[in-house]
Amino acid sequence: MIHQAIVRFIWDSIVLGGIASCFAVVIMIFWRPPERTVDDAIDYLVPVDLDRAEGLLDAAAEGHLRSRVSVAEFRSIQRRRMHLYLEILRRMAHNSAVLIQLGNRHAESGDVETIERARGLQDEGIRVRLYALAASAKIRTWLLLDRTHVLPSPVLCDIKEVCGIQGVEVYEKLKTAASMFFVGAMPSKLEQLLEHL
Amino acid sequence: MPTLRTILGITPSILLVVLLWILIRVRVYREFEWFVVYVGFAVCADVARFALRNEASVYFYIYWGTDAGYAILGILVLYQVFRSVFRDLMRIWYVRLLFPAMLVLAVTLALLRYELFPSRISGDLLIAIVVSELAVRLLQVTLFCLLVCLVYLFGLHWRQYAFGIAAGFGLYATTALVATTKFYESGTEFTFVWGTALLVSYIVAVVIWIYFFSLARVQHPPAQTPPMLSADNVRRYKEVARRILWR
Repeated sequence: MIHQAIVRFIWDSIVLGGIASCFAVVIMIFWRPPERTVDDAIDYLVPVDLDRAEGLLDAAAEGHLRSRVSVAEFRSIQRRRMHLYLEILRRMAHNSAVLIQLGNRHAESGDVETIERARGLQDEGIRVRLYALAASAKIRTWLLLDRTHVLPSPVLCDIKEVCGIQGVEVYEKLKTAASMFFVGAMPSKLEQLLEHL
Repeated sequence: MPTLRTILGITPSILLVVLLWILIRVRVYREFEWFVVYVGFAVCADVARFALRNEASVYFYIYWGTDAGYAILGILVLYQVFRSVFRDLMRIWYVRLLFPAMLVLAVTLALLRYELFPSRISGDLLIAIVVSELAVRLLQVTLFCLLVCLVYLFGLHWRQYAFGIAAGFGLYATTALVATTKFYESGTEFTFVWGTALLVSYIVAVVIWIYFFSLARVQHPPAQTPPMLSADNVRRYKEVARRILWR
């Protein structure tokens, strides 16, 4: 009896998922936000301090900090460090979304070179976004579990690589892809872009 | 009623010929060759079904044989769409595992359904065909749901060809899953509604494909001569390159 209920539940969930996805496609086609252009994309970007991110993920620095303070004190500092890294991840995810949208606009039309660069931007953007979303989920779970005070404080440098993607490295690649795209599309705004990334 | 069924039966064939012509015109075969094969196969299958509609003994095998062809090609097309949208992510090992995992889930669920919920359809061969059909539709709907979720998460948009194909297949696969489940449960008394629902959703799917592929996609050749760089731009590039290398 329980087996039947489980199978029926999974089956109905897939059917409902299919129906919901059909509606979602219609909504995404007709009610999507205005497309990003080369002119306005930079205005939506938020600067990401990669040096700060590397500092937070540094295992040696974290070990040194852990040895200098009490367990309770380290737990409190670690929570603050996690919230800071969460903010960096939020900015990474946001910037990658903006650049993916810019890539979307140019990946379908224009000259062959622009299409290639736009696709490069999409590819790197997707990787950054995957890393940022997965790492955020991991940190939020840690923060939730940390409240129980049962488990020891997590190590932030474990977040350096999530889902087989190295966060800082892949963000650097996204910056390079964005630079390449702007060199072709609007060289005059290249410097401004790098300041905002 | 037979007139309505005849009109509904002929409409997809006409629309598919139009679609095939559009696909060849916009050279989609360079990007989505399986979709072109699918549409070509659909046109041939429709002709074969129509030609043999009065030969009851042969028609059964032709109908279900071509149906299996539709299902397998449908999976290949959706998989190609998935690969084309997440081309770079396919390098990651667990992303590559998603498709086999969904295949296993779909087959397991269909077999469990067969074990736990006896069908009212008579005939072992027909039951086997319908269970296989259920597994294929489950896989297509799961793949479609995953595609929609990932596209939403990553901020990709739905005007590209890949998404047009997915939208059409998603609608058809979902309707087919609902209708085939009902057919499996209710038996042959549901045949008319099952057939009509599938036909109508298939017509809508083909119209969606025609709409997406009719949207012109402009591609220009690369410029023959690179634009001249001003001294100011050269200085700016050198500065940017120095900053990137310095990191």
